[in-house]
Amino acid sequence: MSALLEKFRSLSLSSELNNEQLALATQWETVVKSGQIQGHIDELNLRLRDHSFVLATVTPTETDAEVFESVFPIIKELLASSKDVKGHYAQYRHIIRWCAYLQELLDVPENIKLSLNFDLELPREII
Amino acid sequence: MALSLAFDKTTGQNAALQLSNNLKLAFAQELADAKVKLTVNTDATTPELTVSGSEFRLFNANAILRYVLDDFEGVHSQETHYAVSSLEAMLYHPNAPQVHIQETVTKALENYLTDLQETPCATRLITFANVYALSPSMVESKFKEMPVLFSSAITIAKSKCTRTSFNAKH
Repeated sequence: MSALLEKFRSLSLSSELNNEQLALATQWETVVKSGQIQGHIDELNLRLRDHSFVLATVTPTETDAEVFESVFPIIKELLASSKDVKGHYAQYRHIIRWCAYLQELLDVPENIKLSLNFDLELPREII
Repeated sequence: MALSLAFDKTTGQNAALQLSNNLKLAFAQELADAKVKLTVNTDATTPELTVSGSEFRLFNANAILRYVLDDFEGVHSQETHYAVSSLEAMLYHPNAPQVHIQETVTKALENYLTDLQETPCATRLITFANVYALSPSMVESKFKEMPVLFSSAITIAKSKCTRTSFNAKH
């Protein structure tokens, strides 16, 4: 078990999941375990546009922790690149919001944390 | 509950992955409870399950199969871990060395697919679909006679796959 997942479990934020949420958990855990998260970043961003957490729960679940662990380095790399940082913030704004919350909840070490610019002026999102 | 299921008709992706996806979706179609009104959406080209009157949507074939069968047993089992992290991950690498594929398939055949039951659980069906897609010949040489469920799912899955040299080969 990964350190982040272990940390998440120690928070005791368990949620009772219905069948739809169990299916979504299967879906995102399959994406992570088969190494395909990079190809599903846009889908994840869309999911997080409409819901606070991946399974549409009111508190994060283990699925959030598991997906976060594999998405975090990708987002960190995107935001660290010098090209079109504003564009990346705009394109993945929902994942970034979710990452910002989870990195605090899971107590990610300061030297690894995403350093976010909350003053960046982003274009309005067109849905 | 009315469900709409779309098979994987993506062109240009690797054929083994498409066969695996379509096998899982064919199992879902064959085993859907009579109370579930499951129709096939012929317009969509990527795997998808939608529920009429709701925003709920799944794009992953494993999740679709488990949801339709209402079977979430073993999602964190060793078998699921192997089926997804080893077998399914390999499906995304069509140029993986044959030796590596054979080793991975052999391990699954020896440890999980020791026999084919008439009413298998979703976990076993996912393992079967991934193994069969990776090496149809190894599965067919182990199971000369497959239960009707498996043979009819294979027929359906192959009929939904876009025609490539892979189809011709198998």
